[in-house]
Amino acid sequence: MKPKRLALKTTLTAALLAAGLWVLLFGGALPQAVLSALLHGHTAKSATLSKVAQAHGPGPPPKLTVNLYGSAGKVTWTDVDPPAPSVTYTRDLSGNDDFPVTREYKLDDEEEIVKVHLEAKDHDGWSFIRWEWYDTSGYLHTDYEHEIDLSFGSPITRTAVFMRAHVDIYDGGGGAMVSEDEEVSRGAFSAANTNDTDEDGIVDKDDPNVPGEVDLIKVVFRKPAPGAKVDQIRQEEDHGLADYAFISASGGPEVKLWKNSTKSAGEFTEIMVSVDDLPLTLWLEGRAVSSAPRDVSVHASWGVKLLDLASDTGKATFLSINLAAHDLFGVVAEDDEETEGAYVHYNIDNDNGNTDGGDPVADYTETGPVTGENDLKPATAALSPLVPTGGTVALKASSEGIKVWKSPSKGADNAVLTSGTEKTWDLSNQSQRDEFNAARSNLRVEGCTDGTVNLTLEYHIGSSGLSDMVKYTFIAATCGEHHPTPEQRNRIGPPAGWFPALVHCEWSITRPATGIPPTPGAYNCIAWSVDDTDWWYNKVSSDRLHGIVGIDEEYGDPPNGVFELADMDRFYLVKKGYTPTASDETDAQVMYYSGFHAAKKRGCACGAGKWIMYESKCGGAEAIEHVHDQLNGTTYGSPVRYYK
Amino acid sequence: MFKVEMRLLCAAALLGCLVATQSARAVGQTPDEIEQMFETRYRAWIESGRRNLSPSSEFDVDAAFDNNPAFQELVKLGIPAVPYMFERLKENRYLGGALHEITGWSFDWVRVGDTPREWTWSVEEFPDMVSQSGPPDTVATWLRWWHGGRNQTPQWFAQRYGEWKALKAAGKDKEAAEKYQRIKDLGIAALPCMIERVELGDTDVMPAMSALTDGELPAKANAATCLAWWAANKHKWTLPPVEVAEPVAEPESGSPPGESRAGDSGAE
Repeated sequence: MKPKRLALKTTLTAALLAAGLWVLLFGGALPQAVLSALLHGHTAKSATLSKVAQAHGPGPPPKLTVNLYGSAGKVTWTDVDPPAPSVTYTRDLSGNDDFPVTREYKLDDEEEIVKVHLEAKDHDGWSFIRWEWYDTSGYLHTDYEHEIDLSFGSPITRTAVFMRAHVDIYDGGGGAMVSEDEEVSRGAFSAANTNDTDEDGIVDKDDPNVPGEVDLIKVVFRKPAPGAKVDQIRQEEDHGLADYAFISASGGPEVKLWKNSTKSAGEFTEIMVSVDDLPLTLWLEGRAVSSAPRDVSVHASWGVKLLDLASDTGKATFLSINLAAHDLFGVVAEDDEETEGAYVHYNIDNDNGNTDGGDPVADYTETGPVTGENDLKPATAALSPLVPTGGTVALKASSEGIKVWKSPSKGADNAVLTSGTEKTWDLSNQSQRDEFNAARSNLRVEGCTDGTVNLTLEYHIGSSGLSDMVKYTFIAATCGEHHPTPEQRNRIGPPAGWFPALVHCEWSITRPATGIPPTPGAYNCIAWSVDDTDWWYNKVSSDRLHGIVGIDEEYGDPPNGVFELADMDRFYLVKKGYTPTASDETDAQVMYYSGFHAAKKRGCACGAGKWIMYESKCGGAEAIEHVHDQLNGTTYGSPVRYYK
Repeated sequence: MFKVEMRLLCAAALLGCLVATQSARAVGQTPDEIEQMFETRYRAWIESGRRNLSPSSEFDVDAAFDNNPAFQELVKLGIPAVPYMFERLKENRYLGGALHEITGWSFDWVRVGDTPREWTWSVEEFPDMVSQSGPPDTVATWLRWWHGGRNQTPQWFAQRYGEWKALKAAGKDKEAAEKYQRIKDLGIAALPCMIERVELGDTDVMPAMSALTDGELPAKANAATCLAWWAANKHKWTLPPVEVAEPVAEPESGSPPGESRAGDSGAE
């Protein structure tokens, strides 16, 4: 029977022909760019072997043995004629090994032909290279081109040669090597190199030399294995002239490969090196954040004579981190997070109205859930483009004056960072990763001190790290000896009290209620606006016997029985030397309201500069400190005179 | 000579009333009982204000005083309760209203100066009580009167009575009416002076006496009836004599604006 030849793989043939033509015409090696273009996409991933077994007269029945060279591989054996179901034989890295495999065929007719089809496929990172066998004289045959002659009457052997191009990729920051199984499905993680490690004022990605740089991903390109077979192939006259490893990096963000971790040597995105230069360690830099998980590829292909025989790919993701904050004034801009920062209530109010010995219980002291709690502000912790399955992520506070929950009303089951100053999740641990994912989009920050606390979200993998900090300033009206009792809160504050625009946490009781005359020591807002606790001032008439002073009667010029703003002007001029020349609450010392009310500036630190605090004695009731505009629109009207 | 006589007569009347007042207490309640009644009614009165926690800056004087039943009950204690009121006055200036209702005494404020920065206030009856930022302290004024100032009643009466007569003679009826009110403002401390005028045949002061005695002396009574009534009831309408004059701060010059220059010793 005439031997059958398998069809030459057209793409490989084209590459070979093109390369050969180049050498003939120009008499030299292919330029790297041309070589690269030829090699891309020319990886041998499978090959088929159709074999015809034909008997000529009596003799030993055909017996075919298939073996495999390499640590992993897969061959599908199909009897074409007479037909039989396909069987796939496997050797894998977990210890399964079906090889060698032998089949013996019985022939009844000397003219009968047995056709067998063998197909080898890449498996477990090992690439199929070629078929090879020795004839009876010990001569090695290779079926590199998949076209072979077969003889009959004696056992036939075929060995599928598998080899691998070996790329090891490590997590950034000197992290661990990513296992072979996860090189693509997980890939490596590191930080996009947008920090300034050496603090030289140059962002690392633009810095040609970064001592101490830890954010590059280590990649080791190893010599193809098994070594003996490689050497054999290289030495074969037909194949051994040009062996190489082609290395490239590409991805969503701009990436570069460096020859050392501090970027002081080498800079490229693809390179062709001799197999003799392997193993080779390079460093992969992500110059921007990945736009999708595992969007960076590091590829190495090993080949002989311009043919890609094996390849390996590692994936990488370059991460960014973001702790985003909302505060009392809206979304905190990224550029302001560490400078101006976020302003959140120091949670000293009493939203659930509980008391201890009659004193209101400040909400920040409670674990909750706190009914009606509304002083926590949202924050989100993000790792982009994904939460990696390696490394650790942590929320760290500069002091214990902050608590982080995952519910606006708190509660023990919703605690995230409520004791100590650090909460860490190991992202390689599924349950902890799930816990982080469940919390990170729904964080609620609570102020538990009257001051500033920095909250930092950190991600570490190896020694590489990312962090994002938000400066939190917790503010509240704290001048009062205690915060309003439930009764005071309901009577004075929102929603149904005298001043619905007051915001809890932003007002406090600064002086006790005096009652109205004849209660001893009764005085009103007009009196308190000039630091006077001796009198009660009415609009028009004095009642000297009862201790009442009429603004018009005493400060009118002349008194005319009508209360006028000019009377108030004279009152403040005489009492404090003030004139109504202030422009607004910012430069005023006293604001006079249209509804016969006056408030004086507190000049306190409450609000840390975000609020302008005034103090109002509310008739015979308490004196309160409040944000300047939170009494407007009530029975007091609105400020109509600003005195200074 | 007239002023000297008036002073002597009034002083004698005041001294005589000490015994009369003591008798009244003996007949009615003991001092302890009066003090207890005062405490009870006083607390009821001030509670009415303490309970009022309205945010309103305007204060309804009538609601707290004249139209307040608790206040009226306090006033009904009359002269025997006055010493206790003065004790409490130091902590509660609003007792001045009750003292006025019982004693009838009323002071006046006088503001002088051309511009607000130059304005000063003083008490008409005690011109040395001057304040630069507003009216002088009422507690100090009441204490000044109680602890000796009221001994000037004969002089004040003589002056106002003379001025009233002159205005009346000049046909200045409106001004005379105002001056007549100022005579009434001297309160029950001036009743002996008024009786003296009645004894001299001047019955024009009898309407003032009727007002000061809440009508117990009928406004249309004749002189004889008036004198008889006084003889029978003067013990009820006479204040205790000035016992110990508490030191009253001397007026200071150069006090800063807003500070009273005199009479603050009795303030809270």
